[in-house]
Amino acid sequence: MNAKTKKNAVVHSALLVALSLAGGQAVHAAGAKATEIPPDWQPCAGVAKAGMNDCASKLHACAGLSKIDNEADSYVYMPKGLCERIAKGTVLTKEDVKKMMEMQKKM
Amino acid sequence: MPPLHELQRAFAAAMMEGKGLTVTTSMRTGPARRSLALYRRLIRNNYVQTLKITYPVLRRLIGGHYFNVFARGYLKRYPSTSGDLFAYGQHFPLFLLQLESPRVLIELARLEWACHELHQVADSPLPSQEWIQTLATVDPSAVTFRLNPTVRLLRCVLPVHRVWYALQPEADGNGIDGLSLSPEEGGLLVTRGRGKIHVRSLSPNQWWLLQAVRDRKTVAVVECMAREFMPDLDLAQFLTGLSDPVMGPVFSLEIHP
Amino acid sequence: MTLHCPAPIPARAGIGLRSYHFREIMESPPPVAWMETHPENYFGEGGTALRTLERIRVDYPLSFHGVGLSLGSTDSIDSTHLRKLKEVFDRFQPTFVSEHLSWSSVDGRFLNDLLPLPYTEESLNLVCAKIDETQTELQRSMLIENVTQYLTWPDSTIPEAEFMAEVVRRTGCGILLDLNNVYVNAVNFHLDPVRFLNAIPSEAVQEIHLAGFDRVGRWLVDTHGQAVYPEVWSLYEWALHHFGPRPTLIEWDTNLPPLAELVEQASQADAMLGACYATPA
Repeated sequence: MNAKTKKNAVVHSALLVALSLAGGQAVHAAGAKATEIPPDWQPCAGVAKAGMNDCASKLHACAGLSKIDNEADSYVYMPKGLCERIAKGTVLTKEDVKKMMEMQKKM
Repeated sequence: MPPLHELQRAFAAAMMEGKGLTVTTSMRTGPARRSLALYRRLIRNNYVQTLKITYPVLRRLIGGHYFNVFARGYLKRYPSTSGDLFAYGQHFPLFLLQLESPRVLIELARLEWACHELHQVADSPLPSQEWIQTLATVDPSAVTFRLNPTVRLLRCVLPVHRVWYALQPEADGNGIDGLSLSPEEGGLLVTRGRGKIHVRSLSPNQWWLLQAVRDRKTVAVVECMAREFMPDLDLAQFLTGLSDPVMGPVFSLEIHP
Repeated sequence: MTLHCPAPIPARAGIGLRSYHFREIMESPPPVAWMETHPENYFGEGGTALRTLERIRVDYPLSFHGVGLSLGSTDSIDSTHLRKLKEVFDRFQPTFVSEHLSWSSVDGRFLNDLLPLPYTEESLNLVCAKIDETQTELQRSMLIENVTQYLTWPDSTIPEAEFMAEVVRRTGCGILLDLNNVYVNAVNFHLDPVRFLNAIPSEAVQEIHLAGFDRVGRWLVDTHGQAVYPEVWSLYEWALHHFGPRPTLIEWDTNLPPLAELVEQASQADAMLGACYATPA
């Protein structure tokens, strides 16, 4: 076995290991879709996305809003103001906030 | 009495455009105008709420005020075209791009839409042990890669996944305080594993390899790419890392006789 | 898991299934007879929502309450939407499938809400044609629900209850009677709820919804975000006496309480349903 073939063999067996990890405990015919629910499946992951059409069914039927007036919307996660926040990192800069103000005017 | 189609069209216009809230001449009364105003506010609010659920991290980043402004602007430009609200908001990244928004917002929006889509895609196939054993006997040029449905590859310039993780509701720490973003080559790998969404960054070489997976190249070709052009990459380790059942397996294989 | 037929739903109380309660339901299955949910939330090809519903369906009969078909719209039925409904009905075998007597789209633009329909010969013909088409395509009958309206069309020529009765007569569909909506409309427009109920064909009523409302300025708004109000419980008692016992859903869509509170409302309804059987004929 030359070096090239040997390396192929190494990678190939790594693929087998990789697929074994992915396969877990499912035992199904090749190509069949898994129907077994993995034992540690989290039943509530991403549940917010599981009820999008609740918003359509009745007025206000989503996100727990009970007031009509949306103007005085509270910040979900912002203990500090936007301007203070931009001083501490580069995710949002003063330039970005300026741009957002420009965007606001276009609407 | 106007035909039904005309009434519905006029009502819809009153909802979305809001100009001249009267729908028909017989509805120029005060009570009718108030009714229409009520419907209008409630309908628009529904769409803002829907976008909040779809883009929660973006909203946390820019705050409720700007988010509401952009959400209302989005509704005007890209009104709903489906009876399934899961589909609403698909063009929000494009909308932000068209308004020359800061790049971090555009790319974060793209990431959030990918995460949103992944919640409803088909489950990834789980290979059986028997099938894996069969693979061991097959010529690598007869086996092709498949990118699993629970995967999205995003060509982002900024590592916005760091913002995404920092602003999750259950994240500890100071959010984005002190977080710096500088452009990186490569891209982002978004996967769904056991219902949860995970985001990882990819180096340029890893990105290129995953493009080959997406393009259904054979195992032989991918091995060749790694061998010839990425001497520093441990392909075995990379592929094993991509098969983590917790984060969701990224690829599957097909045998061609 | 392949289902081949729906499970029967008795004339007992059920609860609305919301993703908010998924975890609680999985951990301690509530003592209710059935559950109802929006089929549109299960239009995907995989993921948490579908998995959870599969688990729940093992233990509970289901009713699917659609919100996106837009039966009152002058647009034709969206074939993709109908196809997805058929797929999800085949997969989960719901006992009841229902939609609303309203519209939510025109010229391909959707408003994703339940909009008021003028009650005229024209809208009657339209709604009946679309219900016929839907029932034929789905190969089953459906229930139509009365909605709240915050606007009365001056062009309406047929009262709402008579309109529904005629739709039933022409299409053979059933009625999902939402007593909260009856009450809210009655208060908002100074109507008599009993007059409405008297005009509804009794045999057509196959399901009843009970819910709460909110007051917003001059309006009662059908938010379904509170416990059922005493006035609506009274109307329910009257309806049970008039129509007889029917499967009854506690519908709570916003401001969601812990599961136990929903179950408590359901058991109140169950008590009243039980009383129907206890009363000598």
